[in-house]
Amino acid sequence: MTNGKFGQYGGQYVAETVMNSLAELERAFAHYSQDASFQAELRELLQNFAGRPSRLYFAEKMTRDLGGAKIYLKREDLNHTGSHKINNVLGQALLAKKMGKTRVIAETGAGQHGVASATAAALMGLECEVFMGKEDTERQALNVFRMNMLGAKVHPVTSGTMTLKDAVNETLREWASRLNDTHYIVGSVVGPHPFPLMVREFQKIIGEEIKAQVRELEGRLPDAVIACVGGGSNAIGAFYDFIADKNVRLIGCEAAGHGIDTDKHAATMALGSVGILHGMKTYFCQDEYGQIAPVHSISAGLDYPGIGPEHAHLADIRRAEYVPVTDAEAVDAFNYLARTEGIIPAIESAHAVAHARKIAANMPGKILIINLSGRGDKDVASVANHMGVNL
Amino acid sequence: MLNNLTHALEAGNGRHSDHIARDGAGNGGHNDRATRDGAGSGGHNDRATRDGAGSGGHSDRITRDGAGNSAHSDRIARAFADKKSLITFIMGGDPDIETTEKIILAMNEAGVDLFEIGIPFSDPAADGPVIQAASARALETGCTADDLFAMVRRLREKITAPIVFLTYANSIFVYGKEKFMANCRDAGIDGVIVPDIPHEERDEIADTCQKYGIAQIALIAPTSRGRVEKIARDSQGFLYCVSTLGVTGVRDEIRTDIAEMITRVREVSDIPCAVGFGISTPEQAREMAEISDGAIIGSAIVKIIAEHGRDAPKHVREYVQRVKSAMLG
Repeated sequence: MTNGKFGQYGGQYVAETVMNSLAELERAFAHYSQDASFQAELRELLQNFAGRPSRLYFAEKMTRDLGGAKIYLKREDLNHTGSHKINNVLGQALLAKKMGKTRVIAETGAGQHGVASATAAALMGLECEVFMGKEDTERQALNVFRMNMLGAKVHPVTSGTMTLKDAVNETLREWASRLNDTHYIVGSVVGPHPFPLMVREFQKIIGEEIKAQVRELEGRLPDAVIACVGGGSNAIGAFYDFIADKNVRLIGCEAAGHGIDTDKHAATMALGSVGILHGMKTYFCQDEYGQIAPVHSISAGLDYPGIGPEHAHLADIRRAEYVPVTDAEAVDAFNYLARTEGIIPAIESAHAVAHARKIAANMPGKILIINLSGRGDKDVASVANHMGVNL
Repeated sequence: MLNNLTHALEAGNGRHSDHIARDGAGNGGHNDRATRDGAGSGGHNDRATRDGAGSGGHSDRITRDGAGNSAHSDRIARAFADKKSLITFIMGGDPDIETTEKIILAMNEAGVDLFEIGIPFSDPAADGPVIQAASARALETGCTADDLFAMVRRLREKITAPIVFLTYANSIFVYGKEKFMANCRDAGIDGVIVPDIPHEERDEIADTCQKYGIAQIALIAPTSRGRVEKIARDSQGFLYCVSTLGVTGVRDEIRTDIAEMITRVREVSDIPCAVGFGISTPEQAREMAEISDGAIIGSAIVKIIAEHGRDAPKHVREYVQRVKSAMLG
C-alpha cells in the first residue's frame, strides 16, 4: 500500500481544511505504533478493561445441527461494551490523548461505536460528542441512553437520509470546524487515509487471536472465516492476519435488506459501483450521476452505502468474497443462534451466522469461524418489530 | 507498517515533484480553444517570471498569464485584471433550472466578475446547512449535471464572464472524468473547484482538466500551514482562500489573518487570490477584496434564493449591486 491506497481504493478525498490534521494523525500513529510504552498501555487496556482475548467458542449444537463444517464463534460480543468496536476505540482514544486532544467526536449507526467511544472517553477523561442519524436514535434508543449515562452528548442528525452516512457527513463537518482540540474517532475501516489503515491495525487483533486459538484447539488453520460487512471493521479485523494464508476462505456478508432484486438494500459489493465519498474511493450504492442511494438494512450498523477501501481491493484481487444476506435471513439466524447456542447475536453479526447456515452443510470436515462481532441485546426490540410482535 | 507509512510520505513528495515537472513542461492540448475564443493574448506561452530571472530554467514562480494556460484562464485572468473580482456561488437547479439561469443573468447585469455554479450532491460534507438545503431542493427537482451543462451552454451566448463548477469529486468521477471535462469545454465552463480533491489527490482529475483546458482551481485554508506553497504553485485560474474553519455558511466575523495567508501565496505565485466562506455583507466583501484579489459570496445569496424562490432574480440583483458598489467604493 502506498499513498494511503489499497490498489486503486482509499486516498484522502477531503477538504483542504483537515489535511494537516490527517498528516498530524498519520505521524502520531506511525510514531506510537512503534512505541513500546504506548503498545504496553494499549495491551493492558485491551486485557483488563475490554476483556481480551475474546474466546473462540466451539458451537457444538450448531455444528451437529448443520451437519457439515465444524463451527467456531469468535466471541467479540463478550468484549466490554458488547462488540468489537472497543478494540479500535481504545486505540484511537489513547492516541488522541497522547496527541494532546481533549475532545473526541464519533459517528455511530447502531450505537455500538458511539457507546464504545463514550466509554473510552469516560475512562480517559475526554469530552465526547456522538453524531447519530435521527432514524437510528429512534431504533436504537437504548444505546442513546447508554451514551448519555457515560457522559457523552448525542446529536441526532436530521440531514439526508438521517442514518449512518449522514452521521459521517455531520461528524466530518464538526471536525473541520474544530480541529485543534478534537480527534475524530472514525468507527470503521472507512474515511480518508490514515483511518482505514489505522482502524485495521487496531482491529487485526481479532484475526491474530483466532489464528492462535484455532491452532491450539485444532492444530491447524480454519478453512473459512465469515464476518458481516458494513464499513467492514470487524471483517477486516478477522480477515487481516489470514490474507497471506491463501487456503483460508474469507467471506464478508453484506446487508441485502429486502433482497438484491429490490431497491431496499445496502449490498454495496453486489450492486454498487466505484465512487468517492467520505474521504475515500471505494464501492458505493449510487446512481449514474454519483448521487448516493438511500440504503436499507434492518441492521443500523450495516445500513451504510459504502465499504472500506481495503475490502474493495480484496474483492478486486479475489482474495475475499462478498455475499448478500437479507433482513429475513438475518432475523432467522438471530433467533436460531439464540435457541441453538444460547447466544443472542447482534443483528449485524446475525448476517454472518445466516451465511454460515447456508454453506456449512457442504463443508464436511472443514473448520468454519464466524466472527460474532457483537451481542444482540440492543436489537431485541427491532427484531420483535420485524416479527410483528408488539413489546 | 511504519515502512508503509514512510513510503506513503515519500511517494507523496514524489508526486508533488511530478506536478511541478509536468506543469512546467508545457501546456499543449488546449490551443483549439484559444483560437476559437479568439482570446489571442498569446500570453500563455511566455511563462515569464515576476522576478525576471530569465534563467531559462524552470522557475518556481508563475505569473498571472502563465497561471493557467489556455482560453479558460484567459477568461478567468480577465476577471481579475485591474480590478477586485466579485465572485458569486449559487446552487444549480435551486429552485429550478429556469430560475438559476435568470439569477445568473441578473447577477451578470449587476457586475459579477466570475460565476460559481454548484452541482447538487446528495452528501455535501463540506457545506453548511444553507447550501445543504439548496442541494436538496435542487435534487428534489431532478436536476442533473446534464441539465447544468445545457444551461451553461445557453448562458455562454450571453455571458463573457468566466463560469466554473463547484462540485464534489463523485459528481465528476461517476459521470466519467473524460465525458465531464469534454462537456465542460463544449458548454463553456472555464474551471472546476472540487472541495474534496486536495493537493494530494489532484492527479485524480489533473490530466483530464489539462486535456480539455479546464482550470483546476485549488483551495487553501487557515490550517494550510506548510502547504500553501505547493498548493499555490499548482493552482490554476485563481486560488480559493477559505477564510475560516468549518463548512460553508454565513459568519458574523472573520478572524483569520487573511492578509498573512495572501502574503505566503505571494512568496511563490502571482495567482489571483479570492477569499470565500462566511462573507455576507457588502462591507465584509470590500474588506476581503482589499487584502486580496476578490471576494466570493455563496451562502448569503443562496439564502436570498431560499427565501424568494422564483422571485429571487430581482432580489439577488439588488443585493449583488450593493456588494459591487461597496467593492468599487
